[in-house]
Formats: sequence, structure tokens, C-alpha cells
Amino acid sequence: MTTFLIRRVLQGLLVLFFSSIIVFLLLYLAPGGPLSEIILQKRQSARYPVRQEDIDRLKKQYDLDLPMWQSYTRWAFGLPNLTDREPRYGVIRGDYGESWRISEHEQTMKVILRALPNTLKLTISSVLLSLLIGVPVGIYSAVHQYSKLDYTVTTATFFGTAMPVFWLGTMLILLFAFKFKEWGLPYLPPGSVSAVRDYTVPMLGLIKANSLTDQLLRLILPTITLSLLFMAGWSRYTRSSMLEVLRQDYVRTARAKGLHERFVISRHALRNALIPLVTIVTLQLPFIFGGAVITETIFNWHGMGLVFIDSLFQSDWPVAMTYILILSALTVASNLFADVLYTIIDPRIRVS
Amino acid sequence: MATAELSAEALLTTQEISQGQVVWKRFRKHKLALVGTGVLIFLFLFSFLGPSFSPYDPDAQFLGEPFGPLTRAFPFGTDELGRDVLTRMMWAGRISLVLSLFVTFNTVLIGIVIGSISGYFGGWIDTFFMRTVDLLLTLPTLPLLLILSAMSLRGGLPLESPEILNQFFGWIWGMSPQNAGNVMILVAILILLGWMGLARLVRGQVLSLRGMEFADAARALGAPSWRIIIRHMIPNSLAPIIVAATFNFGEIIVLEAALSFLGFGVQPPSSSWGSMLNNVRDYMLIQPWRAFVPGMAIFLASISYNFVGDALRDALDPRLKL
Repeated sequence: MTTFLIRRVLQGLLVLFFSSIIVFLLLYLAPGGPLSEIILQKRQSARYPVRQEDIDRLKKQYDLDLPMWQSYTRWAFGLPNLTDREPRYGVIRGDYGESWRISEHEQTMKVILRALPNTLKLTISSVLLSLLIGVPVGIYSAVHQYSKLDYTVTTATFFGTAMPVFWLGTMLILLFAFKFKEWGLPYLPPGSVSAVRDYTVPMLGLIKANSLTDQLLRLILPTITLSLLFMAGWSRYTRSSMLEVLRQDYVRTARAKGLHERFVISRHALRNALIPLVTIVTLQLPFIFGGAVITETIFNWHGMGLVFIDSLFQSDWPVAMTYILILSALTVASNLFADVLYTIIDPRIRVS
Repeated sequence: MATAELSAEALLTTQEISQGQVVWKRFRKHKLALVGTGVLIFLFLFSFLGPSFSPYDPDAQFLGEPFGPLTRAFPFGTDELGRDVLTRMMWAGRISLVLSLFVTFNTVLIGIVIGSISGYFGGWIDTFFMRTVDLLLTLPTLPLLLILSAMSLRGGLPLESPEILNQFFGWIWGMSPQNAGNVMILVAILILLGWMGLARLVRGQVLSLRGMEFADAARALGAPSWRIIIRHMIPNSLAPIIVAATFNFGEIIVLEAALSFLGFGVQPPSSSWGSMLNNVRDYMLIQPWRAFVPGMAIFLASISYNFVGDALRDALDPRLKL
């Protein structure tokens, strides 16, 4: 196990090293940023002339004047330490570079992590909701295979996986936020993490801005939107895994012993059927901590995904790159974590 | 001789059916897939033959009638610039559908080439390709797609599609080769980040087929590697490839729509269903059906491909009986 772990961690680090190179190459090729506007101004404005020295100074500040490899090593490892400019510590020592536009001269990691609480609120609640609904539904339709409900669920999962998230979100906003308000029903707020001013909802009364009720109400629509995809996938997964387990000999033995069917399913079959699901959920770690770009955009939810979209619109490439780097690190980590977890909960699996 | 033939024929009691018939017989059982096929045929006809029945030019502006209501002249109304939405839906459909076809075709092609070479030869070639696949799969797809298209929009990517392709797709999409070229950059990015899953699938297939007797037989007969790959490995792994490709169509349609919806996909003056949905976001509160129309088209295309893929998976599986 120890050698397996060490090997996997080293492999993961190697993968991260290569992805950091890819990410950096993109950063290096990236157009725009602080320079493009200055250069544009130089070309166009005669009134506020921009001198070549200013451009050179900016280039130097962002290490854009160095050869590519040196620029990379300074960004990733903080080496070599050049005397004519400020020292950099490198990604390896937690220096991810500074934001260009969103929050100038602030560490990109700080800019992104500030949105982490909002992202966690949304992702964790939608993962919980999907598990709470998806797993029981999957179990039920496996136990009652080919029943009417099974058929309905199987069809519904197709709709769930094929539904474009952005359209579903839009439709939900239209129905529950605007039509409900029009009809005088208790409507749900269409977006944002919290309200700016108090508002009244029919049947619920006055809702104070930023109160707990306000925050919970605002969580509902994005959570539903985000959950649907997971719910569909996970219930389908639980169903097939449960079907496989129910066919096995030991389940038949348990039934032959005269155990109650409910007991056979909940104690014998379910425990083994859920093993693969644990891995599937673990593999969602990058999403849980990285946020959902599309859903956060639709609902104006200030999470990490929205920060990323903002950085793209404002050509703040360092922030965007840090986000991608975080996600790939999380992917590597969750892959490793899922493998380890699998060997722990399933004794049939041996590390080779 | 003649008598022997006669008796053999007489002994044949069951009718011979071709593989195509078998597949079709199984496919037919999946009712939703039949509906899906119908919907897809309709969407293609709508996008390709539709414009010749439409009296309007997709870019013609009918002044005085922006956000026109649903009338007989404009069944889906007019958009913010007073253009007929129905006609624009047809042309946007061409972009969405043809783009996903072309992207899938190319990802499948790359996947087959890399996967079969990797699986057949093994060794360091396999290690190299599969580690590359692992690496690319570690990078988050949607954010990377977004970042690449954002950069290409700002003119920062040294990517350019061949002029002949631009002219061809410009002709299909009814736009200038230059505009088609901009869309083709998006196509290139989608291909670049889309082939890994298929390569893995094909590699797995080839890996299991390589050790089979018929492959040994071909090798013993002196067939060169490329011949074994092309004549034996690829045709035998075609069934899962077709299924994966069908699902891929649906995924690409939604992915392109998502990119366009976020503002990093197809750019004006061109429009796809996704970018049409993006355009109406600011106006949909007044007229909700504006968001319904393009979204429904995306959803229908996506779910139809999903149903067809599901039916094909069952129909092409030789282990299942009729």
C-alpha cells in the first residue's frame, strides 16, 4: 500500500508539472492583459502619449520580457532570482502571481478563494440533494425492475442528462421567479447569494436582506438546477450497480435463509451496491471545490466559477490560469483519493 | 452435384437475414429512439430545406418591428434587430448541427488512429499516447474550452483553419469565409480537447482483439501491421465506436451551445442555437417564449441523439439475442 501510494503521488505530481507547463504556455501566448490597452493607447492617443519606457517597465513587472523558459521557472519555482526585479516565490511556494484586472496586484489565489464559501454552499447542498433523491430512486427502480416507476425513472434520467443546464436554469427562473410573482404565488428570488434590500414574498411575509431565510430561498433554484444532472447520473448508476448485486449468489442465499426481503436489500445488497457510487461521488471533488461555471453565471452566484468567467471577460489571464491549475490539482487528488478509498471499503480489491 | 445442391437448399429452413436487418429489428424495439430519429431528421430538414421555403433573409431587418409578436408572417416573432426568428433558427441550426457532425467526425478519426496504433503496438508508443490522454483528461474541459475561445476571440491563438474549409463551411452556413473561419477556430478547439475518450475506447477494443485467433491467423499469413489494423482491428471495434460517436453528437451540440450561451462560442453576425439563447437573455422576462424556442431545439437534438445512442448500443451488441 505504501509503495502504491508513493508511486501514485509521484505520478500525480508529474502530471501536475506537465499541466502547469500547458497552463503557462497558454498564459504566455495570451493576448490582452494590462499591456494591450497601454499599447492601444500609445497607438491612438496623442494627448496622453505612452512612452516605450512605460511599456518596457510593465513588461518587466510581469516578467514578459524574459525568454519563455525563464519566465516559466520564475512563475513555477521562483527561480532564477534576478537582481533587477522583485523576487517571485513561484507556484510551488504558494505564489500564484498577481491578478491583472479583477483585483489588481492581489494574489490570484486570494481572489479566487474569497469566492470559495459561496461555491461550497451551492455545491455541497446540491450534492446532498442529489444523493438524497438519486440513490433511493435508483434502489427502488432496481428492486422493482421493469415496473412502471422504473420505466418512468429510466426515461427521466435521459431527460436529466440531456437537459442543457443553462436552459433548465433559465426556464426555472422564468417560472418560479417571474411567473410565480405575477400570479401572486410565493416566488423564489432569481439569483445572487443574498438580497440588497428587504422584500416581501406572498405567504412568507417580509424577508430581511441577508437573513437566513433570504439566503436559503436564494439557494433553492441554483441547487435544483445543479442537482438534476447528478441526480440523473447517480440514480442510473445506483440502479445498474444494485441490479448486478441482486443477481449474485449471496443475495439468493440470504433470501433462501428466509430473511425478510427488506432486510436482504438494505443490509446485504445495498452495502455492496453502494461501493462503486462512493468512487463516483469522490470523483466530483473538483466540482465541489471548483464550482459550476454555467449555473453560477445564470444565477449570478458569486462563486469560483463566476470569478473565472469574470476573469475571462476582463482578460485577467493569471486568475483564469490559477483556477485551471486548482481544478487539475483537485482532479489528480480526487483520482488518488477514490483509488485509496476503493481499496479500503472493498476488500476484494487488492493494490497491485 | 445438382441433387446435392437441391437437398442442401431444401435443408435450409430458416431464412437468411443480413446483419443490417438484425440491427434494425432490435433498434425498432426502442420506441423513444424511433421518435428521436424522427426528430433528428426533422431538425436536419428544418435547417437545410427550411431556408428555401422561408420568404425572408436571415439578416434582413424589418424596421419598426423589433420584438414583434407571434403573427402569421413571423411565427416565432422578430428579434431585437427586427429579424425573423424562425428563419434565423434554421440557419443557426445549420451551424449547430453541422458543427457537431464535423467535430464528432474528426474526434472519432483521431481517436481511431491514436487508439488503434496505441493498442496494437503497445510499448512506449502506448505509454506515450495514454499518458498524454491522462494528462489532457486532468485538465478541466469546460474552463479550458472557455479560456481557449476567449483567447481566440482576442486574436491570441495562432490557429487558422485552411481556406478551402472556410469556403466550404461558409457556403453551407451562408456566411463569408472569414466568418466561417472564426467558427472553425471553435471547431478546432473542440476537436483538440475531444478525442481522448474515443482514443481510450478504441485502444481497449484493439487491445482485446489483438490477442484473438483471427488476428494471429492474419499475422501468420504475413499481413503487415497496417493491414491487420485497418482490415481486422477497426471493423471489429466499430460497434462501440458508433455508439460513442452518437452520444458525442449530443454532447458537442450542448457544449457548443453552452460556450455560445456564455458568450465565448459562435460570435455575431453568425449565430447558433446557443448564441440565440444568449441573445434573448435580456429580453426573456417580457416574452418568455423567446428563451423557449432555441433552448427547445438544443434540448430536442441532445435528447434525440441520446435515445438513438442508447438504442444503437443495444442493437449493435452481438451478445444480446433478438
